[in-house]
Amino acid sequence: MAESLPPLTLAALLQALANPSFTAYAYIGGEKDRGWSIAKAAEKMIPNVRVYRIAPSEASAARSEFGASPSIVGIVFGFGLDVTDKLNAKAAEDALRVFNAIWDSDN
Amino acid sequence: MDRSASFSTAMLALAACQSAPPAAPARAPQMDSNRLAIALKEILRDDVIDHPEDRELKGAPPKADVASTLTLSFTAPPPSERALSADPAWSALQSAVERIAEQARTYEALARRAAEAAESGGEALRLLQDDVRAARDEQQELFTGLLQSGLLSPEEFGEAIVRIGSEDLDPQRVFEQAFRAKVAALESHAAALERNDRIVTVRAVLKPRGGTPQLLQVPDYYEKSDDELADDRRRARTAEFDALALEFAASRKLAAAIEELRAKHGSVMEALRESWVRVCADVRAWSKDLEQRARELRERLEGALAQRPESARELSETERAVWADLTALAADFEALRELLREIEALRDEPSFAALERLARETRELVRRVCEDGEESWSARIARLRANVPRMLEQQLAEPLRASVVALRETLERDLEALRGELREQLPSTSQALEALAGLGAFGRDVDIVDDGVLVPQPIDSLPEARLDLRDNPVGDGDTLRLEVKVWDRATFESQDERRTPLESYSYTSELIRTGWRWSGDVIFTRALDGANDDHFTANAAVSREYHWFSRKRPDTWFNRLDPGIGFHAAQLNMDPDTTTEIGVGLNASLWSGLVRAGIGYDISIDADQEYWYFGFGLIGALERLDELRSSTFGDGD
Repeated sequence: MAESLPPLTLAALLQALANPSFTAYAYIGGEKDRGWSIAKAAEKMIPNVRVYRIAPSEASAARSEFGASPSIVGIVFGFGLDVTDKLNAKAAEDALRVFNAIWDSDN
Repeated sequence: MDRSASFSTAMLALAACQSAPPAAPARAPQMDSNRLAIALKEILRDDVIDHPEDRELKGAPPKADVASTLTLSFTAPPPSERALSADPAWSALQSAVERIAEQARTYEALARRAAEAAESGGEALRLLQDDVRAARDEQQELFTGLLQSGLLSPEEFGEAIVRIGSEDLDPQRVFEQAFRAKVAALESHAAALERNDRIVTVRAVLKPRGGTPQLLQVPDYYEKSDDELADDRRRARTAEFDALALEFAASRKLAAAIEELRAKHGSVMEALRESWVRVCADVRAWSKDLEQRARELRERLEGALAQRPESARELSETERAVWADLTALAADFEALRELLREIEALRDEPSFAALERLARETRELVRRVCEDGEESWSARIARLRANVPRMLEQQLAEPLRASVVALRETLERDLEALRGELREQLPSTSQALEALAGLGAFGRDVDIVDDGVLVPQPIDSLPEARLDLRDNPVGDGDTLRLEVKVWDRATFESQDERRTPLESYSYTSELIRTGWRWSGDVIFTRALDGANDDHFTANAAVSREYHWFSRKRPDTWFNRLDPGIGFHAAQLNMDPDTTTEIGVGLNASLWSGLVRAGIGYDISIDADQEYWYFGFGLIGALERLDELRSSTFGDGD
C-alpha cells in the first residue's frame, strides 16, 4: 500500500526500505502529481515493489539521506537500501521511464 | 436383379414409405460461430400482425402451409479464426491479454511469499528475489514487445498507467480492456475484408406433384426480370388444375395397364415388359430392310458429299442448298440406323431412362420425316428434285457429275420409298415408346426451369429472403426446397460449372394446407349388385377432399394419418354396352390420399348403378414407385 511522508517518518521509511523482500520507489512531490499516480500504478502492477511519496516539506531531509540533488524527484531502490536509479521531474512523469527503472532495480 | 416384383408388393412398400418419418433437412445450419447463421420463420396469413401459429423453426418444417410466408434472415459470421491467426498483431494482443492475467496471479503469489521470506531470510529470500526478477523480466519483455511492435504506443501506456494510479483502477482490467478493444478492431477490419469477398445466393426450388421443377421468385435473391409477382399469382391459379389434368391422364393410362395386367394375372412390370417386347418385335420386322436401305442411301450420299469442293466460295447458291440438304439427310439416315440399333440392343435390358431417350429421339425423327417444314424430309426432297437438275446443267468435273447423276436416280426411287415406309412405321413406334416411357416419367430428376437471374448478395448486408407462397404457383403435395449458399466471390463469378460453394444449406418441406385438395386417382371399383359385383375393375377418378392439418402440433398421429373426406367423379366401365360412364359419390382417405375408399353411383347406366372402390392418389404413389424402380424395372444408367 502506497504510503507518504508524513505521516510516515524518515526513520520508518528507512526501516521499510530495508525489507529485502521488496524493492522500492520513492517519489518526492504532491499527492495529485502525475508522477505519484505513476508510482501508485507501478505498485499495483510490478511484483514486490513498494512506493512512497515524500511530501515537499520532507524532501530536503530525504534528498540528503539518499544523496539526491534538488532536481531529483524519483529515487529507485533495489532489494534493501541500495539506490539503483534517480529520476528528475521529467523522467518521473514518463510512465515507461519509471517502469523501466523499477523493472531494472532488482539486479 | 428381380425385375418382376408384384404390384401388391409394391403397394405394401408404398404404405411403409408413407408411414416413415419425414426426412431431415439435407444439411441443417450449425451453431458455428464461423458460419452463416440462418433463422427460418413461417408466417401465416399476414406479415404485419403476428398470428398465434407463426413459428420460428430450427430446421426445415417437414410440412409448410401453402398460405404462409417463409422468411430467411441472416447473421453474418465473424471472420474466421484462421484468417485472424494469420495476423501477428491479433495473435500478439490475444496473447497479451492472457499473459497480463497470468502475471497478475504471479504478482499476488509473490506478495504473499514476501513476509515469510523476509523473516526466514537465507535461501527462501534468495529464491523469492530470483522469482521476482524473473516475473519482472517477463513483464518488461511483454510491454517492451508491445511497444516496439507498435501495438501499444508510449502515450497509450502512459495514459493507462496514470489512470490506474489516479483512479485506483485494477491494472489487469485496464490493459485487458485496451487490448480487447484493439483485438475487436482487428477482427472488425478482418471481417470487413473477408465479407467483401463472400457472397450469398438463395434459391427456392419448387417440385410440383406433376410437371417440371421450377425456380420461384425470391425478391432480392432470384428475380425474373420480365415477370411480376402478379404473373406468379396468375400461374398459381392454373397450376393446380394443370397438375390435376396431368394426374388424371396418368391415372387413366395406369388404370388401363392394370386392367391388362388383371386380365393376364401378371404384374405391372410384366405388362410393361411385354409391351416393350411387342415394340421390339414390330421394329425388328420392318427395320431390317429399312436399315439396309438407310445404310445404302447414306453411303451413296457420302460418296457424293466426298466430291464436294472444299471451299464454299466456289459454290453457287444452288450447289450450297444441295449439299446442305444431302448432309442433313445423311445425318438422319445415321440417326435412324442408330435408333434401330439401340432398340435392338436394349431388347433384353430395357430401362426407363433409355426408353425416355428413345422416345425423344424417335419423336424428333418423326417430326422431320412425317411433318412439314423447312427441315422436313418432304421439303428437302422437293428442293433436291429442283436443284439437282439445275446443278447438272452447270459445268461439273468427273467424278462429281457421275455422283450427282446417280443421286438424281436415288432421289426418284429409293429415298421417296424409304420416306413412305417410315411414315407408316415410325409414328406408331414413337407412340408406343412414348406410352412406355410416360408411365415412368413421374418423380424423375429433370432439369429445373431456370428462367430468372440469381442475384448474389454480399454477406455483410444480407436482406431478408422472403417467399410468400400465396403469390406462387404452389399446391398441396408440392415439395419446396430453399437453398442458401455462401460463395467465394471469385469462385462464383468464374461461372465454372464445377464450382462449389463454401457453405451450403438446404431446407426441404412438403407443402400442405388445411382445406380442399384435388387428386387424380387410380381406383378399383366393384358394383354392389349385378354382374359386376364379383370383381374389381381399375378405373381413373378425380376426387376432392377436405384435409385437416394441425400446425400447433405437427408431429401428432393425426397429422401423420392426414385423413380426408370428400367426393369424386370417376370414369367407369360397369356396362360393356355403354361407351362413356361417369360415376359420382363420396370418399375418404388416409396418408394424404395414398389409400382411398369410397362409394358411388354410376349415372350413365340404368341398373346396378351403385359401386364402391378402393384406390390411391397417383402422384404420391408413383413417387414411391419411383424409389422402388431400381429394384423392379431398372433405372437405366
